This record gives sequence, structure tokens and C-alpha cells, in this order.
Amino acid sequence: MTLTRLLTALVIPLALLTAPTFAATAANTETEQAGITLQQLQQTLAAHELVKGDFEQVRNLSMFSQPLSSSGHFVLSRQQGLWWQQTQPFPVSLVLTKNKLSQQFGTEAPQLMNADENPMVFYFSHLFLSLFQGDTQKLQEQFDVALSGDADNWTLALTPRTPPLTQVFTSIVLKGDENLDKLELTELRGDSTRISFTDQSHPSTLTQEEQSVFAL
Amino acid sequence: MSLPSELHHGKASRLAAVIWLACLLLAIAVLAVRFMPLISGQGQSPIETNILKLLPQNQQDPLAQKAFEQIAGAMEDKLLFLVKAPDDATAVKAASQFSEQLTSLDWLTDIQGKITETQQQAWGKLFYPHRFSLLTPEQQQRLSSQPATQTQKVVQSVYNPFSGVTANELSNDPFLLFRDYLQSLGQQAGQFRLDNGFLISRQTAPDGQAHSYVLITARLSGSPYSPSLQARLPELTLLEQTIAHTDFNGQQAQVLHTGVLFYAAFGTQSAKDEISTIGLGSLLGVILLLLIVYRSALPMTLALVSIGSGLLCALAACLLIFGKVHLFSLVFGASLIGVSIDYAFHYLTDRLAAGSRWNPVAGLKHIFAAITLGLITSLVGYLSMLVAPFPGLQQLALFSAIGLTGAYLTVVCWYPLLAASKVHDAPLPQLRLLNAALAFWQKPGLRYLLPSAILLAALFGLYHVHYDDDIRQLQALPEGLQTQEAEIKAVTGMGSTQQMLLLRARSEQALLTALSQTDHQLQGLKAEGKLTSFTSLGTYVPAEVQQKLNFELITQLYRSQGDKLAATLGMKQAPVAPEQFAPLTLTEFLASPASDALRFLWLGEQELGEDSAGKFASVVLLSGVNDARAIKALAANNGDISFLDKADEISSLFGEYRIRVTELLLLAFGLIYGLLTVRFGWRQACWVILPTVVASVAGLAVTNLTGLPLNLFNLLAVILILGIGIDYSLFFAEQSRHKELAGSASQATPARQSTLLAISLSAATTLLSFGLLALSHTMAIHSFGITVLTGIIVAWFLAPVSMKNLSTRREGA
Repeated sequence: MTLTRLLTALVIPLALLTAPTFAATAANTETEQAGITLQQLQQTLAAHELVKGDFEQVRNLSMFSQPLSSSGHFVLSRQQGLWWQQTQPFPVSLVLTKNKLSQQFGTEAPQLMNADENPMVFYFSHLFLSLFQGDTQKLQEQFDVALSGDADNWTLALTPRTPPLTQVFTSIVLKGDENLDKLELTELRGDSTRISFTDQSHPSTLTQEEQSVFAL
Repeated sequence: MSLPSELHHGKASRLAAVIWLACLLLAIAVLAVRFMPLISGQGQSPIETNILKLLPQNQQDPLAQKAFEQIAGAMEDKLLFLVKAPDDATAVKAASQFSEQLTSLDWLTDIQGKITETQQQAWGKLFYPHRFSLLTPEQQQRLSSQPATQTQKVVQSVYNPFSGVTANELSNDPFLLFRDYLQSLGQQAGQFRLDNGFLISRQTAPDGQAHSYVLITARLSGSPYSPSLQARLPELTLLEQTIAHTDFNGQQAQVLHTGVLFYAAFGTQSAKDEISTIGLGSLLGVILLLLIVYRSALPMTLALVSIGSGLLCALAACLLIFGKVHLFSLVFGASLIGVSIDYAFHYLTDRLAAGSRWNPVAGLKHIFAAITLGLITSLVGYLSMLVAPFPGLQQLALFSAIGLTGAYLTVVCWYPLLAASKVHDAPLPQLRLLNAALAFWQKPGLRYLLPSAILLAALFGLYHVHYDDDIRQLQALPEGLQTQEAEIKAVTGMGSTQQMLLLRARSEQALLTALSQTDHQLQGLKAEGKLTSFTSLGTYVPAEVQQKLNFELITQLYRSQGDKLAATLGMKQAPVAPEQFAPLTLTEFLASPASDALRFLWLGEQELGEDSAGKFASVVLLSGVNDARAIKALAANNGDISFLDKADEISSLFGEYRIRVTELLLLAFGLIYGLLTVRFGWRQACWVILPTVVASVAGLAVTNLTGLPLNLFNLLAVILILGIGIDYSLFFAEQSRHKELAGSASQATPARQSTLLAISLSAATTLLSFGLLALSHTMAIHSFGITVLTGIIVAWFLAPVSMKNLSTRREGA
């Protein structure tokens, strides 16, 4: 009996994603263009241990009178995880590692969350980490993948294959060259979120500050 | 006591034999009716293997009994599997294959591997319409003291790309309250997450390595105690082995399982194995003994006929009276082999000793008094157990008493006809040994010295013996199953304990309020580490009063913060406060497919007396209780809450049983002594009962040597010692009395020799049966066996002290 409690309790967090549902979109089959293969893309994106740069996020939701913009800096470490340092419109520091999530607003004390305590919280976080890292292997588990373009200008279109994602997104599109430059998430009702990355560089080591940030 | 005169006449004795034959045919008919459907594979076995059925129901609290039954019913047909692999991908692949293959087993239903979309949405569908009446305690606090922080939280989440806030969610729940509410309910999920629809968890196994575990559950189509279902278990084992031998891209996977079925099947199997080895060993031993001693097949056949008819009567009578026979009664009934065969031995040994002078009717007359008295004392011993208000003991007592009577009647009614032929004159086998043994007891002083010495040693042992009624000690569970269960428990946090709180209240709403208050207290105990988790309906359905408060807090939030939120995010419209209060009702909750797994917690409205504490009842399941005292204290503070612990209850029942059996044994000893004084006078009666008393004490004291605590089953063994031991000394006392009446010393020696031979045979068969029982892996059966073993040896050894004027009349060797 306790096992069924576990089952029921588990699927609850997913339910929030699915409140009103629509039919899932048709699945695309994986295609490989002549220009670049998935494997090559994976290799390209994995080539650098560290990626640093600026980001700009624009959330274009129909319920807002104007798009919601935010910007800041990011540090992506293959080993450590992601540091998302929003500066506009208000300062927030988000640190996401394999099993921890820390959130710090301005000068308040950081809030720390453990993946072990509630892995479902990390469902989206890890999805994003896979997107940022262009982890095509992991993404293929949940999406139908279509890759087009060449090594200098590729587009990776992801179509969700399994719930709960099918009930949230129609598509997720990644664009880039040596780096991931653009990420666009389109929701079922047409609302979208675009994140673009600029000024990307590949330092060989983390700074002292960055190291301490990741050491949660 | 003498043979009824009618039996002297051939006609009458033939009539008795025919009547007895008719009785036995009737018993066969009864058994045929009950067992026939089994042969065609239908119907439930009339043999009960569930040990809990031996115990009385909870009479003080019928509601508690109902709670137990409902919970046990909801649990017993569940199977739980964990597919274990070195990485997530392998685990999911193996789980997918395994759950697919499980569907091929038609005796499994509700196989839960991949969680379907519908299942994932069931909870959302149930709670979503009521989102404006549901808040976590934390949210209640925040909304009432600092509602502005909620606005802040929403703004931050909308900007945070990792929070997964979609436009859809934001427009339906602008203050993002519902996600936290569901999140808090989901917290109980522990360490599992969804991967390709499977529930998966990555954890460090007992071997120190990290493994991925996928959870799969299934339900049995019938009772786990059903033999036909247990017989299908190898099909499942085969599937599990297939997974273990499959190569998943160079990786291996393994299936762990737990569930009542596995334990029940093991119990049945080991009981079957033990009964067949013990039964077979005993039977072979008896056959061999009889062939050696009587040098003829006739006595063996006769002995088997008397045992067989005894078992037949006992089984038929028990099925008629109780509907089912418990396996334990059957095992104990095997003791009939030890007791009832004694009657046959005495008759046949007399025949052997008489040789060509044999007269079947006179032979019966010769032993009639002794075996009748033996039967009566045994019946007194067994039937005194009938007084106990425990169904297990009653069945046991009746089974033994009827079986014994059946065997006795076979000897009395049929033997004079069946054993009419004479045997050749020949000395009794092992005559020298028999004489030596008899001569041994002629030594003056031994009669006092030996029993006293044994008694003293036994009392010394008994003094150091300690009791342990804990039922958990008695279950010999297979190690493999236990380690699997331990690993499953470590990964899922789910144990198989049946500890729970039973709450009752006057109305449904009062019960929901009581549940949420109890939840709150349990939450506190959980934080203190006094229990791991609990499952309560209160977690899912707050009382309407609470929902109303939540609704007011939420409307208040919309009014005070709505504009501010809209302004900060640039919303086209400010969120509008909900108008209608739409509470989640218990009825709705229970009707939803989402509550499938929780429904059994609700006991509903009870038909109880006016003065009872409450009419509505529900159960809160507890798991990982580390401090039962804290839980008991919680229950003690509130008359409407009771703490139920099945293992504890059974253990205390065992304790009660033990005390009751001790009392009944003392009563039986008293009654038997009373009976003996009527026939032998108080002095001689003392000698007749002494060997059995010493044997009983020694049988209990021996547990001290094996280092095991004393339990109920040792005492049950004393019942057997009493039944058999008294017979041994009775026959000696009877034959010395007989000889005294006859006044001739010349016939005394052969009579003693044949008595000693007969009881030695009987002791040997009893030891064959119960010596093997002591080897059992089931602690209860082992305890029983070891006590019988010791007791019978002592009773047999000391039996000759009951001969009258033992040391004054010297018999030549």
C-alpha cells in the first residue's frame, strides 16, 4: 500500500504541467542533413569544458502587454553545472549542479534545494541543463530530433515525444555555430520564450569566485 | 474397569465392527466432498496455512479488527518489484521488457510499469478545480502574515527559466499557489522521478555501488494464500531469470521482489517439505520397527489402519466443525502417530508374547482397562485445551481428541477380528535388553534417586529459562527474500509493517479535522525521527472548515496583491479573485481514480452502538516507527485514536496463550491425578504421574541448553508429553495391578517385558516423528520438537517407577 502512495505522490508534481491538456503534436522522425550530424554537433558543443557569456531572455506571453525581458551573465561548466546570474530587471543568482539548486535574490541568504529530496523539482532544471549543453543523446530520449544546416549555422528542432512535455511545448528550437546561440521554446498556445547567448568565450579554468559559487 | 460383556459375544463384536466401519465410510464421504473440487483445480483448499488464522479476532474492538482486515486485504495481493541496473538507461530498458512480460501472466492484474498519461493527470484533474481551497500550512502562514512575498515569488519564478512556469499555468493560477500545494503532496514520493514514464531512483545499494532502480508493481488476481496461485510462482521466477540473463548493451539488470505471496509460498513450501520429510521419516521408521519386532506384515497393516482411521475421523470432524483445517493442527495431528499407535502396540505385543496361547478377545480384555484409561487421561489433557478462547487451540484439541478416539475405537472394534490369527511361540525380541532394563529399576533407591536428580537438573534449567513471545522471532523467513525486502525498503522507504492509527469521530467533517490534527502531530514526530513516514487521508482532503479558511486567504491575496502583480509583470488584466467556494469533498476524492491506492484507508460510517466513541473511522498508516512509545503516547492522549500494531498484538496474544496453556496444563495434571487416585489410590497415583511431571519440566528446561527462549510452542509440546507420558506409566501401573489381583508372580515378568517393549516401541515412533520436528527450520515447529524429544525420552525412561512395590519384589533376570 505504501508503494501506491509513492506512485500517487510521485505523479502529482507532473499534474501541474498538464492541467488543461491538448492533443500531442505529431512526431517527426529523426533526419540527418548532409551538413552536420548529431554526433558532430554533440562533439562541437562538448569541445569546450567551459563556456562563459551574456544572455538575454525574452518571454513573449499573450497575457502580458509587452514581452518580459531579462539579461545577465552565465557560466556553463561541463563538470560543475550552470551559474545563471541575472542582473536585469533585478539581481538573481541561480546555481544549478547535478544534484543541487541554489537561488539567491539580491543580498538575501541563498535558498538551497537538494535533488535527492525532491527530484521532480529538478525535472525542468535538468532539461534546461541538457538544452544548454546540447546533450543530444539525452534530448533524444524525450524528443524527436531534426537537425539542419551546417557546422557554422545549424538548427536543432526538438519535438516533445512523451508527456509531460507534450502537454507543455509544441517545439524547442536550438540554433548555433561553435556555440549554442539561440534557444526558443514555443508553448502550446503560441506563447514563447527566447534566450540568446552573446559574447561567448572559452576560458580554460574557473575563477576563484566561480569555483566558490559552484561549491554549494 | 473391564471389557463390556457384550464384546465377549461374537455377534455383538461384529456389530460394533460394522458400526465403526459405517462411521469411517461417512468420514471418507465428508472428505471426498471437500477435496473433490480441488482435483479438478477448483475451489479453495480446505487446509489453512495463514498462521494468523490460529489467533482469535480482536474481540474488544471490532472496528480495529475491521481496520486490520481492510488494510491486510489491501496489502496482501500486492507485488512490488525493483528492476536494478548500473545506469538509468539499462534500468528503464530492462523494466520496460519486464513489465511487458509480466502482462503475459494471467494471474497478475494492474501491472504498473509505465505511468500512463491518464494516470499522470488524474491527480491534477481531481485537485485542479479546487485549487482556490487548497493551501499548504506554509502557504497559509505566508498568506496571512506577509502576502507580498507571494507576489515576489511569482515574479521571480516567471523570470527563472528553470522554474518551468508556462503561460498556461500563469493564466490559470496567477499566484502559482497550486504548484507548491501539489509539490508538498508529492514530497512523499521521496527519491523517485519519472524517466520515460517509469518511476526511477538512483541510489547507493548495500554493496556501496550506485544503482538505478525502477519501480514496478502488480496485483494478484486471487489470494496470496491460494495454493493454485502459489503454484504459478515459478512462471514469475522464470521471467526474472530471463531479465537477469539478458544483455542490455553490455549491461546486466536484476529484479528484486517482495510481497505477501513470496512469503506465503515459501511458508507453504517449507511446511509441505517438512511435513512430508517428517511424515515420511516417521512412517518409514514405524514400518521398519514393526517389521523387526513383529516379524510379520500383519501388525504393521493393523497399526496403519488404526492411525489412518484416527486421522480420517479427525480431519472430517474438523472440516465439519470449522470449515477448514489449519496446517498446524495437521502437523500436531501427526502426533497421533505417536499416541494412537500405542494402543495397537500393546495389543500386538500381547499377541506376540502369548504366541500359540493367543485369544483375541481375551487379549483385548487384558489391555482394555489400560488403553481406556490411557485414552481418558489423554482426552482430559487435550479437551482441557478446548476451554481456551483461542480458535487455534480449540481446533488442535479437537483434532487430537477425535483422532485419538478414532484410533482407539479401531483397536477395540476391529483388532479382535483382524488379529485373530496366532503367532508362533518365540521369545520377545531384545529380551535380554528388556530384562536388563527392568532389573535396573529393581535396585533400591533408584526409584527415588533418578527422578529427583532429573527433576532437580530440570528445575535448575527452568530457573534460567526466559520467555519471548515476539512473533517476529518465530518466523523463519528465507534470507534471500529478507535481503531483497531490506534493499527495497532502503530504496523506496516502504516496509511491510502493519502499524497504524485508527481514528474515529462523530461526523465525517470531525474526522477530517481530527485527521489533520493527527497529521500535524505525526509531522512533528517525523521531524524528531520517531517515524519515517505516514499515509493519511488528512493529507489529501482537508476539512471543509480549513478549506473555507484557505479560500478566504486566497481571495484576500487576490484583492490585496492582484494589482501589484499585474503591474510588476505588465499583465493586460489584473488577476480576478475566485468567486465560488468549491471545496474538495471526501466523496469526490474517494470516487476519483487518483485515490485508488488510498481508498482503503477510509473505513467510513460504522454500524456501532450509540455509546461508542464515533461512527466514522479512518486509518493512518505508519511506516518506519522507531519509537512506538511516542506513537502510543499520542494515541493515549486522545480517546478517539488507537494505535494498532499487528505484530505487537499477536505477540501479546502469544503471551496470553502461553499463560492460558500453562494454567490449563496445571488443571489437566490435576484432573488426571484425580482420576488416577480413584483407580490407584493417592500414593500409587503419585508414582504414575511423576514421570510425566519430570518429563514436562525437563522438556521445558532443555530450551535453556539450546539457548533459545521459551515460547508458546514449547508449552503446546507439553500437552503431547502429558498425553503420551501418562500412557507409559499407566501401562506399567496397570499390569502390576493386574498381576497383583491375579496374585501370581510367574506371569508378571512376561507382562512387564511386553509392556516395556510396547512403550519402547511407542517412544521410538514418537521420537522418530518429533526428533525430526526438532530439525525444522520453522522456529515454532522446532521448539515443539525439541521439547517433545526431551520429554518423551525422560517419560519413557522413568515410566517403570510407576510399577507397584517395585523394589520389594525382586524379579530374576
